[in-house]
Amino acid sequence: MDRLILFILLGAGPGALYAGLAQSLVLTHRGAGVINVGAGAMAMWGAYTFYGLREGHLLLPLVYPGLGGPVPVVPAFLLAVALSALLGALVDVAVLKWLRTSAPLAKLVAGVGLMLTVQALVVLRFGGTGQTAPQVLAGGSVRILGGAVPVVRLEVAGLALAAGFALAAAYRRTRFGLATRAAQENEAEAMMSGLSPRRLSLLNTTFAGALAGAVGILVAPMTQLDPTTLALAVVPALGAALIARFTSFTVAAAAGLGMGALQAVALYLQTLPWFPTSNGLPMPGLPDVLFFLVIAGALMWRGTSLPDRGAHIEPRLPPAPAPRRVARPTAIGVAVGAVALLILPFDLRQGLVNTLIAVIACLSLVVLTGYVGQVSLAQFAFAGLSGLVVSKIGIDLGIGPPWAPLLGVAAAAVFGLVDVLPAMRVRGVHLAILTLAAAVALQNFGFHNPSWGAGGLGSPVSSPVLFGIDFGPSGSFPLNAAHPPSPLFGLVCLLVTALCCVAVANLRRSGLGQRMLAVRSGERAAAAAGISVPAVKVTAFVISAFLMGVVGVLTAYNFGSVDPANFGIVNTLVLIALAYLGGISVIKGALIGGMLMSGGVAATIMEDYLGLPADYLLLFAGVSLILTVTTTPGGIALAHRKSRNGPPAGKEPGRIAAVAEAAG
Amino acid sequence: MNQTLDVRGLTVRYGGVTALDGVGLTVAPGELVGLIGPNGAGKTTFIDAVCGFTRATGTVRLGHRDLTGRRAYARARAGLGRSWQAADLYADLTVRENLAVGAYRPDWRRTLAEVLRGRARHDERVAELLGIEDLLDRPADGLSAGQSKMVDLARALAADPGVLLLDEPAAGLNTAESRLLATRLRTVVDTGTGVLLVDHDMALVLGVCDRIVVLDFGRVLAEGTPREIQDDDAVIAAYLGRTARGDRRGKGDRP
Repeated sequence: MDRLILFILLGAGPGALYAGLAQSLVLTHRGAGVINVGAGAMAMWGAYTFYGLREGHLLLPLVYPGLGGPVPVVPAFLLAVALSALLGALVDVAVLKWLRTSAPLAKLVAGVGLMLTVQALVVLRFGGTGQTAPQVLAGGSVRILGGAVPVVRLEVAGLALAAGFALAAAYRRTRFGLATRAAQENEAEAMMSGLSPRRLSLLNTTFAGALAGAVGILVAPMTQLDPTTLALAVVPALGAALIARFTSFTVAAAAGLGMGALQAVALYLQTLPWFPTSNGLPMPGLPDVLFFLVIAGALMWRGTSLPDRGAHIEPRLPPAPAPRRVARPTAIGVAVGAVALLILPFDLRQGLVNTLIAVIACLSLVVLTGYVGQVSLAQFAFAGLSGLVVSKIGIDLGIGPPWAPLLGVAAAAVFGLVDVLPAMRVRGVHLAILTLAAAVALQNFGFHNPSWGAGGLGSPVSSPVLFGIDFGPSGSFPLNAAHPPSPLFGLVCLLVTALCCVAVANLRRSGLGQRMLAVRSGERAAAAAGISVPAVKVTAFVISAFLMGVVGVLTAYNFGSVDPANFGIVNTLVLIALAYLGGISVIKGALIGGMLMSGGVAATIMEDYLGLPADYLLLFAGVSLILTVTTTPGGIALAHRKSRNGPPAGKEPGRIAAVAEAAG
Repeated sequence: MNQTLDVRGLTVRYGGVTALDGVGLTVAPGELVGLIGPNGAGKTTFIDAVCGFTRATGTVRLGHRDLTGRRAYARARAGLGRSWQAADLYADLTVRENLAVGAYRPDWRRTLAEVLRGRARHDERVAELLGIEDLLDRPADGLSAGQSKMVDLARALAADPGVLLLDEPAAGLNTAESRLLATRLRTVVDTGTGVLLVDHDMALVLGVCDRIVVLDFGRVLAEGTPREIQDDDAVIAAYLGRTARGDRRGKGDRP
């Protein structure tokens, strides 16, 4: 019992991080109506800025000028917090301002872009490995119940809680707090009463940035200063913010500390003798599974009562017109692709194979985001699961094609169903939070598990042999097969990709596709037409997970192994970015997105022929996602279309006539 | 699908406010019932509650089926059609697709067959009935207010509902369009569909309805034929005012 309490006290450190981030999330949501999944990345930027100042450098995007010596702790802390506040302000001015009238989904996706951009900048500067974060508060420890508890942990937890009370009081007492609450209730009314939602949004987002930065700096020494730990701390923070209904600062602070305690209890359980082990070590990832369960529970408990923002303009998603012709473009595409696979040199052939697989991944988002207006941050988790199934049943049971791929895809579809069921009735943005938690949990609990996961070097996949023919990348082929991948594997990928494209095009033209678009347009009107909105969402989710299952199978065969690094959360973020850039609502967009994906045709040309390092793809993806969402939501594929906000042709004369008649 | 809508004791409370207080009414097949009342009387709330968009107590029956407590989509499938005050078309679809969405509900096998073939079923009869065939290929977000209203009505009709609840279909229409709407509504009713019409256009409501229910502060104030309603002192005091009586004398009775 004493040891449990000791663990919980030690959990106060991460708890403070979650509490601070949860409050930052509440601030951004109240001020700008955005669920900022980039809050963890903002904390990370603050922590790295502080690290840079203590090392004698100023951390700026792409440059790292020296300051002629380390900056002392107090000015470094203040400067780093100020720069974090500036980042918050920048995000508001450069991103959120343009999204005021956009769908909540677009705002969430902008947060994904922020997360990706900050991560990319950090990786470009410091690489993927961690740094030793400098201490801020004084050290020392107290002895409690026979164990040493660092005072710092208790101090930061106290600070996080104090911040919660201070913010709550400020929102209740000051005119600024009142004004923010008014704007949150009804933006149009607030504007009529002379309040500026823009300025309120700016102030709140600036505070949110400062708070995230401060908590990142304070807690980094207790967690880890690397490009992912702090960024993904947003998951438990989102759980805490959900419990606080994105409204109450004190509840957010308390729930954040509670998430820290929950993590501590999970770590404590791992030290007990009965705790299941794999390869002699306690099973990893239990805290992430618990976070997922808390978020699922919070959504089921509070799902329908989560606050909506009283925005004054109907949010819209890019148009998703039904494709007029399917057969001819498919035939042309397949012919061109087949010739390319036969004649291209091996590196471009590998790029084309990667592109073909990535096209299917983009299609999964066309169905989910483009047709139904939902977003999933777990796409590559589905793919990884499918690949892992193919690998494991191949090694352990000796089952190969055609059953192994089918079982893999089925596993992905079933997991997609299980993942979405708890949140069937909640709105898209909250569903996205759940999928983020699911992705992290599956990655840590599933893929990194030594027994059933993929371990360090990846889980091997045997080549697909059917009817005595090796269809894999190392199979033989009469033409151009000196280097892998074999053109035959490319042709298999081409065929599968073409089938997926046709299926998604036909889905849009079918009655189900119309019902999906109807749900996207308006859930109330869809329900009034007898459409079960949850059923349509679940169907789309399962189709999307199914497509990612296909991606997982092809990727597994493509690499000959299932490496968790290919199925991580960052892969999904890059996928969302490039699918958006290509055009999230049409098949042409998926083709463009597939070209741009890492390892794809464009990346191969950049790296092998133009000599640009691959690390920049991450930055390109993040920045282009933010730019796409704010300027051309339709992506490259629909860039030539006029903005939907302009008056449609033929509408105005009729309206003027009607007005004239009414006046006359 | 000719069914009687039978609503009894419908009560809706928003916090401490009682928006509807034990309202009951019936709409028989082939009957056009008007529901009128001052702003805030609870007309739209009534439609929302009957269709399952607002939590309410009381019973809602359609034909022999009890819809009380069912979800909105299940009520729609049972045969409750509705239109919206703001038209609320599926802006991302064409008019043709708008009409198709609610028109039929295939089982999963048919759905799968449709996805494989890339086809959907379209039916243009309703568009012909309402005279909007020329709009079929237009995107729904490029229509005028009057056209949107007509497409919304067509969309509700395409599902072949037992009873149709129309929320201010004439709002935003000009006089000619409103008169056109009246004749088309009579066509619909004559096919046997019951219609509940909520509107502020008194010429339309008094002219076209078989029976009128007047709501005030969430309660039924009066019920009767258009003539009885126009002569009801309570209704005149609460809603119609003096002009309506003058109107009636000027214009005469139903056309």
